[in-house]
Amino acid sequence: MKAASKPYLLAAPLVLFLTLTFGLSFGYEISGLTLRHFLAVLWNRDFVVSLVATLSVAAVATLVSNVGGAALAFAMLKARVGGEWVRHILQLPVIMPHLVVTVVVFHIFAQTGVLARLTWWLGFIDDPNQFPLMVFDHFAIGIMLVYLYKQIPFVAMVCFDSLRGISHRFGDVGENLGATPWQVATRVYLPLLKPTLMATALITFAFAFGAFEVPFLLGTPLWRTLPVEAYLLHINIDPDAQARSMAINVIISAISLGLALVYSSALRVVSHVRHSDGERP
Amino acid sequence: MKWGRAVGHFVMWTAAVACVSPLLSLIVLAFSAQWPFPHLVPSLFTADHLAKLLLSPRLGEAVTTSLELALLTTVATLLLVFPAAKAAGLYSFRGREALKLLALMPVMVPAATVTMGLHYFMIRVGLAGTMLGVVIVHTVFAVPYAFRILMYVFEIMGEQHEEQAAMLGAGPLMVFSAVTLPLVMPGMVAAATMSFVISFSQYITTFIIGGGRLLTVPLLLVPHVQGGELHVASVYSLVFIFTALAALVLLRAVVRHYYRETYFLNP
Repeated sequence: MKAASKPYLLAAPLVLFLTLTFGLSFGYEISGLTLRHFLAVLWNRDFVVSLVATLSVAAVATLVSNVGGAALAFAMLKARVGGEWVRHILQLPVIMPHLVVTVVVFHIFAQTGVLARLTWWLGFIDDPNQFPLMVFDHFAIGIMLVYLYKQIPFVAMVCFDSLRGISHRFGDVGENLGATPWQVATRVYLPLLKPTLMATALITFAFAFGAFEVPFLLGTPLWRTLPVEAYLLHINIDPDAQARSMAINVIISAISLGLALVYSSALRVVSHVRHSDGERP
Repeated sequence: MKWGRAVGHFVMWTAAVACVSPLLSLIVLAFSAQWPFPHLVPSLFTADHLAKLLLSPRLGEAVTTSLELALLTTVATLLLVFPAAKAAGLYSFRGREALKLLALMPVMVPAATVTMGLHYFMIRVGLAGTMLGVVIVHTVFAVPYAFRILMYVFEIMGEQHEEQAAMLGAGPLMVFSAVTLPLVMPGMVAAATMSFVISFSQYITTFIIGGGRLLTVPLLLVPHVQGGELHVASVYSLVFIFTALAALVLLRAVVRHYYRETYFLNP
C-alpha cells in the first residue's frame, strides 16, 4: 500500500518550486560575473565597512534579544502566570509589521520625539538637538530598537513554551538541594533551553542580517548594510554597478548558506547529545 | 521565593507596557492635528486627515491589491506546502532533513537578495510588473512558516487516523476530506494566517518585482516615512494593522463556519 516513493512525490512540488526560484535567482546573479568583479567588490573599502557593520548589528541584536527573551521567559516562569493575556500582549510585537515598528521608533526616539519631549519636561535638555541621536545614528541604535521590539517577545514566547514543557520539577529539585535562583536558571534551565535558543538565535540573526526596510529607512548616511548597498547598486543604471550588486548578493547568499549549514550540523550534535542523555537510567 | 515572584511580575509588567505603548502612541499620532516640540500630548486633536486619507482612491487601490496578493499567496503557499509538510511530518525517508533545510532557506537568505536575482529572470520572461510574479516571490517567503506549522501538526496527528479510515473502506478522496483535512484544520488556519501576514507586510519584494505597477499598503507607507511625514505614516500604519486583523478574523470565522468546533483537534 505505502510506496517508498510516496514522500518524494508529496515533497516534489515544493522542492521544485524552491530549487527553481533560488536556482534562477542565484544563477542569474553568478552568471556573467568573473573573479575580477568579486575582487573589485572585496577590495572596496565601503564594502568591507558594510560587511563588518551588517554582521555586528546582527550579532548585537541577536545577543541582546536572546538574552533578553530568555530572561523574560524565566521571569514569566517565576511569576507563575501562564495567563492568556501575557501571550496576547507578547504576540502583538510579533504580528506588528516591522515597517509600522519603524514608524513608531521614529516617533518615539527622534530628536523631537516623545522621549526627547519627556527629557525636556524633566529638565535634562533645553533644545531638541541636545537629545542623543538615535535615528540615522552611526551606531544603528534606531535599527536595533526595531529588531529588539520584535524579537525579544518572540524569543520569550518560544522559550516560555519550551520551559513550560520541561515543567517545574527540575527547578524545584535544584532549589530543594540548595541552589540559588541564579544557579537554577543558569545550571538547570539554560542547558535545557539550548536547542530552543539555537533555533531562535539563528532566526533572529538571519533576520537582522538580511532585513531591508529597517536599515533602509533608519540607517545612517555613513554606512549601509549589505542588502541596502546591493539594492542601491541594483537600481543604478551603470552596468558596472549592477555587476557589483550581483557580486554582493552572491557573497550574501554564501554567508547565509554557511550559516544554515553550521546550524543544521550544530543541531545534529545537540539532538544526539540529548538522545544519549535520555537513555541514561 | 516570594521575592523572586515579585521580580518576575515586575519584569513581565514592564515588558507588557513596552509591547503595547507603541500601538497607543501610533493611535494618538494619527488623531493629532498640532503637536509642536515640547508638548507631551497634541495641542489639537482631529479626525480630519484620517478621514481624508481613508477616502483617497489611492488607499482603496492599495488595500485591494494588498488583499488580492495576500489571498493568492496564501492559497499558493498552502497548496505547495501541504503535501511536503505531510511528507516531512509523517514519513521517515532519505532526504527528510534536507527537505527541512531547504524549506528553511527563505528565512536564511535575505529577501532582497533573492528578489534582485529573480528580477533579472522575471524581466526576461515577462513576469516583472505582473501580479503572478509578485505572488511567486511572496510565496517563497511564506513557505518556511507555513511548512513548520503544518509539519508539527502532521507529527502530532500521526498516521493512524488515515490508516483506520482507509481500512474501513474510505477512498483517498474521502480520507482526505473527512479525516485529514478536519484534523489538520487548526494548523491550516495558523499557516494561512502566517502566509497572509507575510505577504501583507512585504515591501522590497513587491517594489522590485512589481516595478511600480502594483501599489500595496507598504508601498504607500514607505515614502511618507522617508519624507518624515509621520502623521500620514501613522494613519497608513493603522490601516495596515487593522486591514490585516480584519481579514484574519474573517478568515477564521469562515473556516469555523465550515468546520464546526467539534472537528477541531484539541492540542
